[in-house]
Parts: sequence; C-alpha cells; structure tokens
Amino acid sequence: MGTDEVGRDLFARVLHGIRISLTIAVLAAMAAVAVGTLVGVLAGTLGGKVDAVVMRTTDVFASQNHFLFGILLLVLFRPALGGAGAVMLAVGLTHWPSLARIVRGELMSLRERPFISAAVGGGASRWRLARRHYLPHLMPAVGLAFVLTVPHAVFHESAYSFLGLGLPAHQASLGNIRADGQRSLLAGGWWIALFPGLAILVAAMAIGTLAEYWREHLHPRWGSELEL
Amino acid sequence: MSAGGSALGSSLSIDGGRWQRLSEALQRWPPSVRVAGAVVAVLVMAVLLANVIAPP
Repeated sequence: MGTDEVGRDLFARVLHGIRISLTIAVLAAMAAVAVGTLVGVLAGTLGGKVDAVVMRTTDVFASQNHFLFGILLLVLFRPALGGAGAVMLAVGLTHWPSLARIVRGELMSLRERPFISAAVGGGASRWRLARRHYLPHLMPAVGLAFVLTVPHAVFHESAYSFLGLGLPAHQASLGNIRADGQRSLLAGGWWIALFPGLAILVAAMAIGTLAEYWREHLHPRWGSELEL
Repeated sequence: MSAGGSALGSSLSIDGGRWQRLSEALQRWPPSVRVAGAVVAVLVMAVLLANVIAPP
C-alpha cells in the first residue's frame, strides 16, 4: 500500500483506521438501538397520550435531515465529549426513529396476544411482562436494527471525520486518512485516499449484505420500515 | 474400548454432527452472503489483532 505524505505506513494506518472506525460505529449503533428501543417501549407500553406525544416527537426527528442534525450535535457536544464521544452521540441521536416505530408496532401487536392477556390475568407486573414476554419477542428486531445501523455508522464516522468534525486529525480513523488522501491527491498520491475508501466500502457492503439476508429471512415486512 | 474411550468417541461424533450441521447451514447461504460473512470475519480479526499485526 506504500506510505502517506509524511512517510507513515499506509497499511498500518488503514488497519488501525478500521479498528477505530468499526469500534466507534458499533458503539454508536448500540447507542442508537438503545434510544430507539427505550422510546418504542415507552410509547408501546404506556400508550394513550404518552404514546401520541412520543410518536409525534419521533416524527419530528425522522423528518429532519439526519446528517445535518448530526453535524449540529457534533458542533454542540464535541468540546465536552471529544471527537469519538460526539460522533457516537450524533449517530445515536439521529438513527433511532425507525427502530422506535418498529418496537412500538411490535409491542402493540404483542399486547393483543392471548399469552399476554393470560400473564396479565395471572397478576404479572409491568416489569415482569417487559422482561419475560416483551423483550424476548423484540430481540430479533433490535438485533437486526443494530446490524443494519453499523454500516451506516461507519459512513457517518468517516464523513464527519473527513469534514474535520469527527475524530482529532492525528487519530487514524478511515475518514481522517481519506482527508489526508484528499490533500495529497493533487500531488499525485492517489493511493492514500483509495485504500481507506475501499476499506469503508468493503466493510459497509459486507455488513450490509449479511444484515439484508437476515432481514429477508426474519421479517420481510421490515424491508420498508427499517431503512436506516 | 474403555469407558473413557467410548465417552471420547461419543463426544467426537456429537462434535462431528455439529460441524456437519454448520457446514450444511453455510451451504444454504447464497455465495454473496458467504463472501460477506468471510469479509466480516476478516474485519473482526483485523479489529482484534490490529495492534499485533501493526504495532502503533
């Protein structure tokens, strides 16, 4: 792979870039899934006015351009949380609405099922219902949403770092290496931008292919809803 | 065959069955999904072994 513009081994930098970018993407996807599940469970279990308010708030978030909203969050929270923390927060707070809708929908249909009525009739508390009956049924949707969010989070981390809003420039994230490559492009250093770009593409395509296959087998109906 | 030997034999045959089921499951995957799975496995290894392969 050669070296970058200051003589650093590009293979080593891309390898560490994959490590940093994928770690941040996985943590950011976990944050998004946690927020989405919490909001969906709140709306689905409490119902009534809480459901209406929470879902209208979800609609407001879903109607925003999530990339621009993420940039706003980065600008606000980067000084306090640092680059990695702010990227996780930005992805976590912009990718939860679709999962919240799915979790709420699943909960609404679960509440009508006979075994839930039997558990309620048997005196099960709300906590027991959530732990023993709701959560096990929600896990496939939550797991799938997590896997679908990871490649998206890789793109976001790379894009934010490329724009200088994500990780500090000295950290070898894939976006930062691409930013270095862009500066070297006119001087003839095409490979510095190419290899981290290929790494982003291959990682996102591979994880995305697995997630799509899982989604098709698990629940084809989510195809139109889980567009993250 | 001793008792220990037969226990080892039965555990190996169970293991063999598990591997067979795994390979059958993998064969049901389309080729693109198999390639994607291999790439993800390589990426996970790269994440775990980055400091060993290329010390910072």
